[in-house]
Amino acid sequence: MSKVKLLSSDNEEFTVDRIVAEKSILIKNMLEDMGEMNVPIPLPNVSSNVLRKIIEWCEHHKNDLYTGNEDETEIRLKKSTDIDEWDQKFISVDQEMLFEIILASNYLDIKPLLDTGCKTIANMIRGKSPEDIRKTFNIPNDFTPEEEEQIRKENEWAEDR
Amino acid sequence: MNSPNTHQKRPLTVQDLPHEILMVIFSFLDVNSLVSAKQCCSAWYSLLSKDVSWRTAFQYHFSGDQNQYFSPVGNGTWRQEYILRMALQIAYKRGKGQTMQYDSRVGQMTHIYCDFGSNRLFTGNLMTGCVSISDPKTGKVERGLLHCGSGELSTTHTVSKMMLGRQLMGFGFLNGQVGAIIMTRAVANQRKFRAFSEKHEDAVSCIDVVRGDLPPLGQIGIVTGGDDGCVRCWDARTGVCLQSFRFDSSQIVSVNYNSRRRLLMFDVYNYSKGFYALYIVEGPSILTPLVKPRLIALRVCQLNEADEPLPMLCVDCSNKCAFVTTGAPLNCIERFSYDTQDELAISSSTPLESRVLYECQGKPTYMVIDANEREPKNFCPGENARLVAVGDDAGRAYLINSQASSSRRGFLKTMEVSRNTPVTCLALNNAVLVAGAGSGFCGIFDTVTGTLLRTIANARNPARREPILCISIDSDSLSPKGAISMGKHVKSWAYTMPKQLVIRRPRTVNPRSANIPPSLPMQRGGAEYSKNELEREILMGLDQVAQERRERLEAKEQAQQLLGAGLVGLSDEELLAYATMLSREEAERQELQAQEMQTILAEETTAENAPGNSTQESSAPILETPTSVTASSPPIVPENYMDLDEEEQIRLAMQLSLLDMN
Repeated sequence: MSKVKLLSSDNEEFTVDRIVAEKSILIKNMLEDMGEMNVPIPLPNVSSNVLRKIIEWCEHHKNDLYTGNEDETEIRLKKSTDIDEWDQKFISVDQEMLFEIILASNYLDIKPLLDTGCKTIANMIRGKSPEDIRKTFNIPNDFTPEEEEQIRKENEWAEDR
Repeated sequence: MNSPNTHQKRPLTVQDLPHEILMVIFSFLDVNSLVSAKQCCSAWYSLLSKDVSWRTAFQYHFSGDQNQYFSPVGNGTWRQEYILRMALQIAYKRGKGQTMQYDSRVGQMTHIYCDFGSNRLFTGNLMTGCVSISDPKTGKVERGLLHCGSGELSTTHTVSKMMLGRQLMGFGFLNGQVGAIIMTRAVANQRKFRAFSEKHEDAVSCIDVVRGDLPPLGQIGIVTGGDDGCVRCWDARTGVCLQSFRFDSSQIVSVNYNSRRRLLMFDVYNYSKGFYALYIVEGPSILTPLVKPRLIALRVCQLNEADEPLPMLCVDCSNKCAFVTTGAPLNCIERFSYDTQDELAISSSTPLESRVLYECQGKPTYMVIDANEREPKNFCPGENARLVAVGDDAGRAYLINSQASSSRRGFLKTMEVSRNTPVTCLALNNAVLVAGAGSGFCGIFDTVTGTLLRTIANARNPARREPILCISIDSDSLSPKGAISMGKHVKSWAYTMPKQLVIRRPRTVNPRSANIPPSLPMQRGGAEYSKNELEREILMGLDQVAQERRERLEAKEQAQQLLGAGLVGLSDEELLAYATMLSREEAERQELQAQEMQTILAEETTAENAPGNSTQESSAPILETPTSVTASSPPIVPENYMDLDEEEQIRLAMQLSLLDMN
C-alpha cells in the first residue's frame, strides 16, 4: 500500500497510508491531480498536535464507506446528539483543541469529522440560557443593557415556539 | 484566519470560528437554543439575524451543490425555508402519526381523492362505477355508496373514465354518455348522479374535472374527449355542453383543463392521416358559446407507417408552458412555451412555439404538475421553481423545473422508485413527491434533495404484490398527510410536525377584520374562514389573499345590487353568474318561464321531499342578517327559491342557462 507524507505547519513529518490520507478530500484531490509523489504534502494551516489527532480519527474511520451526497444528508438528519461512541471519546478534548480540529477538518475537507465537531459544540449550546452560553465559551457580553433589553423583547414572542 | 503565529499568542475561542462553520453548528440546533444563542453576543446576533446566513445552513443540509431549484414552502426567507423543511423532513422521517389501512368496500379502487380540509376520502371503482366516502383518520366508511348509474343505464354502459374532485366527480361511459355527481353539503342521499343530456357518439376516452371548488355557473366544470373526435366542455351543474370542438376521423387522446388560467389543452390523433396534434385553447372564449374560440396548434407530428405510434400520454398546462409526455420510441417529455400576451401573433397554422425535450430512460407512464400555482415573488429562496414530476416504466421518477427555459440543467432530480417495474402513479406538492410503483412499493421523496424520506408500502411477498393504483396527498405542502390505494385497501397517513420547529409568527393584522367593510354581513366566504386557511394566509402573505377577498366582495356587492337579496343562499360566484345572466334577458320572458317552472317544481317538491327539511344548509348563517332576508326578491326568481333543495336549484339554473343560450 502506498504511503503519503504530510508536513505540518511546525515542520513535523507524518507518514500515513494513502487510504487514510484520502479521507481528506483536499489531499485526495491533490493526489489525484499530481499523481504519485514522494515530497511531503505541506499543510501550513495544521499544527502537528492537531494533525496527529486528525490522523488518529482517519485511521479509525478508514474503512467507513465513502458515502455519496444523498446518504450524507441521511446521516446529517439524524439527531445531532447521535455521535458515535468512539468519536465521542475522541472529541472529548479541551475547547481549544476542539476548535482546532474543526478548523483543520474544514480546511482538509473531512466532512464527517467537521460534522462531529460541530455537533459537539451544538450539544454544548443546546438548552442553555444566553448567560450560560457566554460562560461556557468565555464570550464577553458586548451588549449594552439597553440593547440586551431590546433583543429580549424582540424574541419574547418566540418563547412559546 | 488561523495562522500558527496568532495561535501561539492567544488561545483559540469560539469567536475565531468562521461564519460558515458557526452556521453549521447552529444548523444542528433547535429554535429555542437558537434564540438563546442569538442573545449571546453581538456577533452571533447579527449572524443569526441575517437571512443569508440561513442560506448557508440550508445549503449544508439540503442542497450541497449550487442546485437551488426547488419550490419554496415558506414565504420567502431562507430562515423560514430552512426551519420548515427541517420540520417536514423530521415529520416524514420520524414523525409519528396514525397510518390507517382499511377496506373502503368498493372492491378494486382505481381512483382516490382525499379532501383534507373536511377529512373525506373518496374512493372510486372504475369497473362498477361506485364511489365510497370514508374518513381517512378513523377509517370509518360512510354508509351508502354513490353509484354513477341508475336503473336506465344497463351493464353495457360501463364507465370508461372517471375522475374525482373535491366537489365534483365526473364520469364518462363507453356509450359516450357523460355525467357527474356534485358533492353538496346536503344529506348523502341527495348526492345523486346526473347524466347529461348530450353525449359523445363514441366512448369517452379522457376526462378532466375541476378539482377544487365548484366553478361558477356557466363555467367549465368537466372536459371530456371521446373516440368520436369530439372535445366537449360541460357545466357540471346544469349539464349543458358549453363548448365543443370536433375533429373528423380522429380520436382524442387526452384533455386537461386549468381552471385558474382558463386553459384547455387536448391531444388529437387523426387515424386516417396518421398524425398527432396538440391544441390549446385559452382565455374567455372557451366560456362564451357565441365566440368561436381560437385553436392554437402547439405540435403537429406526422407518423410514418413504419413508426410505432407516439401516444401522448398526458398533457398538463401551467404558467405559459405546457408539458406533454411522448411514448416510444422517443420516450421524452416535451415542454412547449407560448406567450398569452402575444395571442394574436399565433395563428393556428404555426405549430411549436418552442420545444424543449427531456429524455427519459423508459417510457413515461405518469405525469403530475405541482398544484400550487403562485405568483413569483421578488425574492424567493431557490429560484422559485415549479415542479413537474414524471415517472417511467423503468421504475424511475424525474423532477423537472417547469420555469427553466432550456433543458440545459436537465432533470432536477432522478429518483429510483422501483427497479424495473413501472411507476404507476405520482403525487406532488412543494415539499414532497410520493411515488407508487407496479411492484407495490410506495415511497415519499424529498423534492429538494431527492432522497427517500419514508416508505409507505412495500410488499415483501411477491405473491401479494399489487400495484399502487392511485395517490392523493394534501396540496398544502406543510401538512404531511395523504392516502394511497393499494388495490383493495386504502392506506392513509398523517404525520405530526415537530412542535418545537413549527413557526408561529406574530399576528399583527387580523385577517378577518382587515379588509371587510363593516356594513357587509359576513356570508358564506367569511363565515367559513377556516383555521387552515388562516394559517396558510399568514404563511403565504396576507396581501394576495386579502386582495382576492376584496375583489370577491366587490363583485358580490355589485351582484346584490342587481338582484336584490333574493338569492342569499348562493355563493358569490353563483350570484355573479346569475347577475350577468339575468341582466341580459328580457324580464317578461323570464318571468313567464320562471312561473311555469315554479309550478312544475312545486309539484315535484311535494312529491319528493317534505318541505320542512329541504331548506338548503348553506342558507343557515345568512338568516342571522335579517336585512337581506326581508329585502324583496326580484320578480324573475321564484319566491320560494329558498325552500327548494339543491336538485331543484340545479334544474332551475339549467333552465335559466338554456334560456340564456337561446
